[in-house]
Amino acid sequence: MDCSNFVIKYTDYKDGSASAEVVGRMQEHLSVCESCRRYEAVVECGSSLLRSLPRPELREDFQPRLQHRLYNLQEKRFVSNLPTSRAPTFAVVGIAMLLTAVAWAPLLSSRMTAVELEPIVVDQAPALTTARQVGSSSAEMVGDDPPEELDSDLWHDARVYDYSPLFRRYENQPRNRPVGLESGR
Amino acid sequence: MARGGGKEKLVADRVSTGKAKAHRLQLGEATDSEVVQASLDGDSTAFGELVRRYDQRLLNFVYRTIGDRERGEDLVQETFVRVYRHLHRFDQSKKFSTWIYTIASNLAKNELRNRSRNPLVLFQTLKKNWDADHRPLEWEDTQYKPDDLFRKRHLRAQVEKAVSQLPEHHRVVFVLREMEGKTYEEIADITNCNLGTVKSRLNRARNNFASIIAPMID
Ligand SMILES: [Zn+2]
Repeated sequence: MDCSNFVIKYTDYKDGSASAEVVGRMQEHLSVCESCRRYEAVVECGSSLLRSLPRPELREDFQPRLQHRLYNLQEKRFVSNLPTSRAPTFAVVGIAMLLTAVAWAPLLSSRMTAVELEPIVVDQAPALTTARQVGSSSAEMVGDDPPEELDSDLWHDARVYDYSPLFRRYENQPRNRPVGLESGR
Repeated sequence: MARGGGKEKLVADRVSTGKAKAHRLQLGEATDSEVVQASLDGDSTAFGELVRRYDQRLLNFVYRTIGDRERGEDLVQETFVRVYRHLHRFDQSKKFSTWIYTIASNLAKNELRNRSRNPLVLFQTLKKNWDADHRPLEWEDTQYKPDDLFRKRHLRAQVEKAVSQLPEHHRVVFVLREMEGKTYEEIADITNCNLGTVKSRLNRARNNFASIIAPMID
């Protein structure tokens, strides 16, 4: 075997697909040829360097962008699968987005930091006078209508409203959960 | 004021989150083929698992093939969109990884083809391909043998550059074998070539690659 043959057969040899007879001849050549030994060393070193190259990182918006594209695909599927339906398109689109949001939530949440929000507890009516003063100072924005009176009864019961991520609201009905009614009414 | 409902909800949430986690773990341990089947059966989290498994690997492959990271990311997105649209047509007797790499490889080839429509790029590409195919199998640059060792970082940069200098049809095969560890058979399927062509291209690519990096390796 000469050097040219060695280089031609090298891929089979390196990847283990050469016959035993060829492997024997390759090894025999290697034992006597400095140049081919160097060739092998260079290819091996190159392979190892290639495998040690850092893999490129995906940008942070990769997942949201892909998710958005898949939303659109799902919307189209929903619409095209309902040829005879009289349901308004926006309702269909809404359901599609809802299902996708639920479907992707676990994947996204596994890559993001989850923030738990405390329930907001409201047990007395807001100070209306202050709010009105702020509003009246920018009349051009509010308009000419007098501010509506808040129904003070609305605030007599202590109620707790849970605020949770959008997809959770659809998973767990009802969305707003009044409690404390047994103490007042 | 009763807060019991809140606690129940919290517990229900935890149970639900726990179930979702367990499900994700279960999917994480499933084979590609099982995840694909789960997705086809309507498991809405299964496709996310496929994305998680392949996004980085595909980006590495496409980036090394076309040499542009941002465009590579766009092509990986497009790959997943196509997989999503055509998953029901996927022949499950085949390997999913081969299928998804084939889609990514075709998109990368199209990208290079579109670029090559630029007449200057076309000329350079044709010349590079011709040179690579007709260069005798000599690998060592006898003109230049530096004594000093390059630092590893510099060497890596040179190695990356060497990959980008390979002609396109060699580069795809070379990256699939050397960086993605695909078998000859898989490469043949992905590139739609026969085994002989794969071997020949791989040998040429290794030879060219060795020629380029030899002066840097002591
Ligand atoms: Zn030799």
